[in-house]
Amino acid sequence: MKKAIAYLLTALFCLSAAGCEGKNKESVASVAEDGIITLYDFESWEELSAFAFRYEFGRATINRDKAYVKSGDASMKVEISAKTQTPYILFYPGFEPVEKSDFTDVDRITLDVYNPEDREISVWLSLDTRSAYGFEMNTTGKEFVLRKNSWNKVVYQINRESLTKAFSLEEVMHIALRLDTTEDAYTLYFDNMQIRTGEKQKEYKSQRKTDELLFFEDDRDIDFFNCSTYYFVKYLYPLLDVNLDPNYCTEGRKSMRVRIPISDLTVFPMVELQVDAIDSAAFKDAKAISLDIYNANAKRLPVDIHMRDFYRTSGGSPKADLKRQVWLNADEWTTVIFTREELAAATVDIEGLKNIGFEFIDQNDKGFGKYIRFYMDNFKIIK
Amino acid sequence: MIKAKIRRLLGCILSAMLFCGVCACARTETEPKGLSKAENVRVWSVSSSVKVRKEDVEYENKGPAALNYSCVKGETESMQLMLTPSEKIQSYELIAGALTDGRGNEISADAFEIYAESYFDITLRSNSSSLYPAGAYPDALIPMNLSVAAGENTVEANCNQGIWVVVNVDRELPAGNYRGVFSLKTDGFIHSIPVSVDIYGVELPLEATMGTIFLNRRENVLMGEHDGREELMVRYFEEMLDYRITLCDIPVYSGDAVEYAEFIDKYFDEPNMTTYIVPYKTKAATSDTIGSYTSIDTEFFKAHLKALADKSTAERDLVKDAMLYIYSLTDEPEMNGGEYIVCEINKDIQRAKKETVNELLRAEPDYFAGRENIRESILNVRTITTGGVDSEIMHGSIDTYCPMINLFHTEDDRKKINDVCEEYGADVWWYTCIAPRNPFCTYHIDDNLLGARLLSWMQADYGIEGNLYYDISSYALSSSYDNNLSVPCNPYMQPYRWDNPQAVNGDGFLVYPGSKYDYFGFLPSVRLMSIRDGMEEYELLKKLESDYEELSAYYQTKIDGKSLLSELYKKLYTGTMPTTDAALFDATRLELLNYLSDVQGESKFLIEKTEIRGERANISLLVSADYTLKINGEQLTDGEIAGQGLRYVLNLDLSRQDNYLTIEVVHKQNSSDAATITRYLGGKTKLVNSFETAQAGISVSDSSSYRIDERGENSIEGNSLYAEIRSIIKEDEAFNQNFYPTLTMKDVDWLFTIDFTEIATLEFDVKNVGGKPFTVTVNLLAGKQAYAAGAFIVNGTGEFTHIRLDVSGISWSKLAEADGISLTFTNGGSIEEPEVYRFYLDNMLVTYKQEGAQ
Repeated sequence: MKKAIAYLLTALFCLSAAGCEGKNKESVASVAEDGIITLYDFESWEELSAFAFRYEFGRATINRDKAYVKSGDASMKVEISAKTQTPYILFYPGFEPVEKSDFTDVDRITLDVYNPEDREISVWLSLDTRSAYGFEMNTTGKEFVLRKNSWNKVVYQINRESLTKAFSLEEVMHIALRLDTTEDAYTLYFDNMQIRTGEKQKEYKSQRKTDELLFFEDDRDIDFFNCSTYYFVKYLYPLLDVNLDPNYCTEGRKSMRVRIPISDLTVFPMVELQVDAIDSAAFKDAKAISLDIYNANAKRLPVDIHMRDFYRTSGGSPKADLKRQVWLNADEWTTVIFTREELAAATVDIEGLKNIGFEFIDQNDKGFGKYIRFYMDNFKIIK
Repeated sequence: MIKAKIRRLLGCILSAMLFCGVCACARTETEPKGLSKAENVRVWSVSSSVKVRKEDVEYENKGPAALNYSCVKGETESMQLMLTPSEKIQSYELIAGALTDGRGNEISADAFEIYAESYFDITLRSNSSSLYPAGAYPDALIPMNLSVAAGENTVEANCNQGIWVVVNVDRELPAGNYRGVFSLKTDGFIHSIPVSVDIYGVELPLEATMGTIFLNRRENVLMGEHDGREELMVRYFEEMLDYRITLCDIPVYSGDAVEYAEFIDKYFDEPNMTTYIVPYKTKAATSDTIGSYTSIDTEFFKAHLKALADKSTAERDLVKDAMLYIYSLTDEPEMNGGEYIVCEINKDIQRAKKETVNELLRAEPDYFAGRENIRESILNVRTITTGGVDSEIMHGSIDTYCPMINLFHTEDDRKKINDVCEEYGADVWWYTCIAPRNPFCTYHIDDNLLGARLLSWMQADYGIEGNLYYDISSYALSSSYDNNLSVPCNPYMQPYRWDNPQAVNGDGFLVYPGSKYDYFGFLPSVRLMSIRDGMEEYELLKKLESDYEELSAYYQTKIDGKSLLSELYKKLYTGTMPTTDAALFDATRLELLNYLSDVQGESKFLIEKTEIRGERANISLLVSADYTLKINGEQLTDGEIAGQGLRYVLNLDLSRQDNYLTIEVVHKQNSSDAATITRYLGGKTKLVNSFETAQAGISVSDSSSYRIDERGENSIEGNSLYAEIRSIIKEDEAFNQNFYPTLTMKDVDWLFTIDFTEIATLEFDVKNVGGKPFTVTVNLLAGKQAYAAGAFIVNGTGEFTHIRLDVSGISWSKLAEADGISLTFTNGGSIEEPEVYRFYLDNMLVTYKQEGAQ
């Protein structure tokens, strides 16, 4: 009898559990298999409503033609009109349905892209993050050249060890997808955006030379730069990459190339080195800071350089910085030197330096799809 | 014994199992039970003047399971068919059929547009009116075929589902009564829905005259449609013309002036195209007065004016309707200290217009030969500036003022605006947005749908030339999250588009992205439909006004069309606060159609004047001398000659339950040339208190006083009540906030004879002699409970203001027990100088609901 009662109670429990079991909604981010989390699978119109489409654009729709689907039943078809100036798609991982903005454990973002065109098309991925001071900071866009008539696996590697020296990954505001600007219209299919977590990354220990601030010999050095404009006009953000052409190096075998999209808008594109990413002990007893900039354009151009011993916040700057406007001759290197005395006169502490900002104040020009270009190298400390 | 206990225990366990099993089943979805029976679905109807929430299954004013329209030719009109099933409906669909008038004329099924209403769950309310609580409100309208294709045509048990049905009446159709049947399918069962369309022998004027500036930003459309192509923006522009709205943003993005002019030229002859905006760019400028500022790029502006002029002929002036709206620089300047900047910008614009003319003449001296009107049009291109008229800095600088609608609320307000505009040669438009809120007209979702429609009636009444709205397609959420850029949202799920506690539902959008349903273009909302309905009525009101004025010559008497129409207007709104009485609106709209019909006929019949005073109405009628009039069966004689017609004056008793005027107009020589016109003068009117004598039951709050005034100088007739209602301000802030200066009427005889559930309106006249406006709240009392029924602003002009409280729209559980009325005021002023409200009160009356009304 006791057994019968026990069985009955068990049955009672199971039955009520079956009736009471609700359909628990699990956030996408919590479903992880082998450290892989699917952020977006592009299955419905509602899913597209979670993205911001910005600037000039064609259209994005849900595609159900299996030939262009990598995962699930659908993919996102993006049709970009001819001569469209820098379309963008912003993904908000902190919003529904993903609700994961903390990327401190994320190693890479992957995305399947089918390019049905008979030519290569480029896309760029970058991260927009919120700094500890509430300010939006933007990593440079990494370019991915999509092979024609093929599926491409875009892998955006997050070098956590280096990136987190300049950026906080605790709140990723957007994953920014920048699309190419071309003379002709084109179509791409996107599917299966995933992140991988939990990999062990190689510790970032840059082997720096005695006087080195930044020589760009380690590719990850460009991770220390915030790229932005006034008013956060993303399609005019500078693009940074590693240059291997020795004609544009003044130290070692690599330098940093800076490309700024041309526009007639006055928005002051800027590139900011987060000096905190570098060993601050290097500044002890420094007499001066020197850096080389190459103007790879046909005309003389100015750049405003800001030296700051404070962090900028979303509420503004707590004090003045040292600003110097430098005119760069065309097709020439210019070495810019800031002395300790000069900085001190502007109440900027060289040993407490936090941020060196470069504002390109004249990128105005006519000319669809073009850039103005600079190279930077040999950021060093003079003792 | 033990066995018995075990049996009982097993019994309990089994019962518990059974109970949990039932609960479990209840929590899982039931399988469909097959065909839906007719009795499982209640089918009913309401007009297009109301929003019925999904959960209002006990909605009190249900109409029959039929669709009945009254329209003029060329008009669109809507009705709502409602389904309330007791079990879930898996599939429903309404299918239109053709209607005939029995004389070979037909309204085809294609003339009908059928939409499934889509609902927003509103939790953050836009206002605190008890009439619009939280809940599921209809807004988006999904074409029936798209709803079916998406599998959305289901209805949950014990919920309402609205079907919005529009009829587009062809201008060529003869007047008459058209009848037919639609099929409503619910899970395979077919309900026959009778449909009638009564077409009046009046035509909606072909050309729209009301100016509109409604913005539609490309970046917003891109966010919601996921489509930023120019062709979609062109589609939005074209579709909006069907709603009588010319979108502000002309979808030409090259910046090329010739392309812009070609676009305008293409659509110029569209009857619904009214005002259109000249695009602008900004440019840094300096002036001796204010130094550096941002102005418009005048060369860009001039190029566009020239392009329009080049495309114009004397008969087809493309410049005349062009306007400038520099919203990024001149929005609400007095709120952001931009008045001097506005003056400088307007100077730049004036200069640019003159330069345009001069440059054209320099290039070609005969440029305006035979087209002098084009020259004048260039010089008169208007710039519209949102904001009020108070800033003297901007007087003389602004071409077109565009204040917020609540700034037109009182007669004084309107006079002030009118005086400034007249003095400085300016036009006047108006606008609404997040403000004002209920009880003013709004375009908010959880608010009075009549407000969106009656705004156009007010526009006709107050002579406002145009209506501006700042965005029709805010498809994203404005948020501080993202540097104040918009963040994405699902436009079908997000009722407010500003991430702020001050947000209101529906502000900034009137349409929905069609891409969700693979539709190229936007999907409308009930609010957009209401706006269009109002705009059509605007044209009809202007037409009637003009028709009346034409009859002045016939009757050799000044027929003040505006004054005649004011009889309609005052039933429907006070200032810019609309009625909530949908039945009253529907009846008044029919009156409008009847008036239009009357003046079109050979009899030239019209009701010249109606004065309702207490329980009697004085009505003056005009008719051609070739016709006779019978009123309620009695032939009228002793008409006085009025030009080519006759005037009859009647004095009618309004004390019956429903007061109708049945007028038979018959040709003296040809009795078949006859028409019967019925006018509803309102429900029984009962004068309940004319304050002739002192009464027990009237009391005032502490420090206040009242008396019966017998001088007769401050009354409508006879005596009146004079009151001085005083505020009391102490150092105790809690007291100050909880004290209301009050005049109370309770336990007075007449209140015992009134059942407020039968009452349509409570009305009285009040004369504010305090010198400045005050707001009075009218409360109904039931025992110790009070219900704030309405708030009214009363001018301090020293004239009587007629207050009309709509009781029929009150939803209060204690209404049947109401036994008192109080008037409360704001406890204001200071300890030394508390606010005092001085006024006369007279002629308190009630009108009863129409018989059969709920």
